[in-house]
Amino acid sequence: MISLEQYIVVSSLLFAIGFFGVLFRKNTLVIYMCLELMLNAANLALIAFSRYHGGMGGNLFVFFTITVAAAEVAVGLAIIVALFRKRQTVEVGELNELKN
Amino acid sequence: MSAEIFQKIAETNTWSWIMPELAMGLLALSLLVLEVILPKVAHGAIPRIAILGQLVILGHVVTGICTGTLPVGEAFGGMLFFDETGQLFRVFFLGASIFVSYLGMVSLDKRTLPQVEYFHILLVITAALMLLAQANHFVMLFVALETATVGFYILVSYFRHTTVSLEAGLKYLIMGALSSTILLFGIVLLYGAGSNPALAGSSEDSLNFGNLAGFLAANPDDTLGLIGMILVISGVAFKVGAFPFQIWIPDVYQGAPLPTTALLAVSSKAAGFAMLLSFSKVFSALEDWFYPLLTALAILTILFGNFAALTQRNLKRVIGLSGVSHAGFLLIGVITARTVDWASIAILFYLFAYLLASAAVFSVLVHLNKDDDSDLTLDDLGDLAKKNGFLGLALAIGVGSLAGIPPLAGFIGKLLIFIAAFKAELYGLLGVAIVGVVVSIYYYFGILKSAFFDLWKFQTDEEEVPTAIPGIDLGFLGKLAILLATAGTLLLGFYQSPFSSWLLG
Amino acid sequence: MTDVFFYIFATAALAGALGVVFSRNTVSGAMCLIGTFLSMASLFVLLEAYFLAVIQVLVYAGAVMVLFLFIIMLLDVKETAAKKASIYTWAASLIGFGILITGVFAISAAVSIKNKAPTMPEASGTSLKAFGYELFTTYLLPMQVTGFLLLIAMIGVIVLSKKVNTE
Repeated sequence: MISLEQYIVVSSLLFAIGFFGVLFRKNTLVIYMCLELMLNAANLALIAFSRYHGGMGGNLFVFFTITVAAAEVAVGLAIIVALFRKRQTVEVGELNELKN
Repeated sequence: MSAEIFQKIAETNTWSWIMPELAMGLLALSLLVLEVILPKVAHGAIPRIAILGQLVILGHVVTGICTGTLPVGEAFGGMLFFDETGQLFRVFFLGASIFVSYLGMVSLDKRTLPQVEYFHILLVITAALMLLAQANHFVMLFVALETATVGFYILVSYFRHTTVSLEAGLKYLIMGALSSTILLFGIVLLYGAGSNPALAGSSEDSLNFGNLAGFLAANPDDTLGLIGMILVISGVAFKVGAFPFQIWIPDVYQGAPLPTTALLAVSSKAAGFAMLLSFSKVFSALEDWFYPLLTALAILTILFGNFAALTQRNLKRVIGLSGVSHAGFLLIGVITARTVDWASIAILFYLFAYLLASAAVFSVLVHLNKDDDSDLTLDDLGDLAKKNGFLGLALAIGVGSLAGIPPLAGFIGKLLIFIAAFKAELYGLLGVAIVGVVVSIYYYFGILKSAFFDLWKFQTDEEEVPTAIPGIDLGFLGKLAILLATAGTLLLGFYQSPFSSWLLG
Repeated sequence: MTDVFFYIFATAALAGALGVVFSRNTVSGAMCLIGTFLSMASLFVLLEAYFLAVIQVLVYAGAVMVLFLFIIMLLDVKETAAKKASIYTWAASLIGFGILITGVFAISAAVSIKNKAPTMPEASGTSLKAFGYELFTTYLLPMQVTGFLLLIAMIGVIVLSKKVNTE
């Protein structure tokens, strides 16, 4: 029998790996994928808690986070594409127009 | 079965209580419809319709508050909680939205960009923030917050013909999405802690603020709840721009279109504090952790914001960093709310003063006739007082109020927070805050200096100036807007009896 | 038996996540992410959240990742192999990761100490009817707000990618 904390460890590890990726990678698209990974890790934890503790709350919340994530991805990719058209780059380090 | 469902829907969902938000949503939708049905020549009227509609809604809310007819209590199955603070936040967000609409109207008129969509998104953001301030459930809070955040992503990158706007949009996107994720994970852990049936006080609906507060009161040493709280506070600290999470502020404020910068500075920050005020009730059982955390954030935020602003030349960066320090002062207000019960009203007063002052400053900046408002520097203010005395005066009053110079509203706001901190015996924080105020006067004075005292520079190079800058045409609406903002700042500085009646009563 | 599946899919999800972070090629990174999402959908099934598992496959592994791959192909970003992460990036990332790993242990310890409920409650996320009932009663207002969220996202994408008309 798999216990709750095993699911939570998997979920937190996914969150940590995603966070590491956000800090470590310089490619905006990869950073954005890592952010999706973190959101999904939260979903896994929600469903696990919901299953082991009883109650629908967690499952319903996942429904909302998936919707929010989808909307965020659409807008985010539109911004990335628009910027790429201007600058021909997706590297964070090369985005340096905003400096004092 | 179906009758039962409809009965439950009708019972729990009191739509009439969220009339202002519904009206905002409908207004936003009708703007899109108007764009389709109105002839092209009449499109200029749409922003005016948006402003007018918001004024009507604002009037509705204000009369509701004055007559005391607005509802109090839970609604929508515990999703929302209505109280006086929430109503005042409604007024605040509506007021901010009206000013930003005006700024957007002026700013977008100079550019060939889609116009109506800006106001549409602005109205939806405002409605979401109004719901956010009254949220009583983490699902509602998260959905409302994300609606506002996604709207902000779009508005920050709205001037997509400029690289800076898109770059600011991308930076805001990554930082915003990261903070939302951290907030979400915190909420998840709180849910996991509060829904555990093995513990006392647990509840199936543990995302409800009341239930969660009850659980935390029964289990104040719950590690999971504690980690969840820290993550949630980190997520909110990002929104208000508190110290370790402020790195996005200068860049995004600089690159964003001027109206969006104003919206970020005012509404986004106030939304963070609306959340913090709700959380201070939810996490009251964890106060041994909650308040030290906020104290550390407040000290670092005030010091960082003020000292970083000293070296800036770019106006929008200065305003952004000064906004960071304002967030620090407001954090002191949240901390004092633990012991001083009128501190939440002091926070609201501070926010209103900040709104009026920012409105004055941004209304002046938007008239400076720069094509690219991301590189507005202090030098662009040169000779402003000479060229247009009215604008110069408005800028002086706005900046003076931000700096907290008596007798302007900003001074009273700071004074109230400081008195509250004194009453709560937070002398260390008070000392840091006063250092912050003293430092801030230096760079605020720098803004005024470049607007006024560059007058004498003209004697040396008289010939290059008069032709270089075209005159500034404010128009009737512009004059009215600036007049309102400055008059409000002066009025709140001299006359605070509605607020003082709250403080005393 | 389900225990074996848990270990298989959990390992696959974590391996995929590492693949996203460390793969040089953005496309293979995206493929790894799809693998992670699919493994997580399987974990959802193990947790008896069948509806959400389907949504996960449709929305994440389907729509979102297809969009990602489409954009990656469209932009055709040349992966700059020479650009190695600097020592500061490594240090900062590792410190951040270290803090989070500490958090992971703290969380798992907290969960295991507190979670002594001997019996597993009935699975609640299985019934689609229950979902619909809750969404249209208690969660009606967030539902409606989500509608507005999707609307402004749609409008925003159009505004951001429509051709600028230079008159």
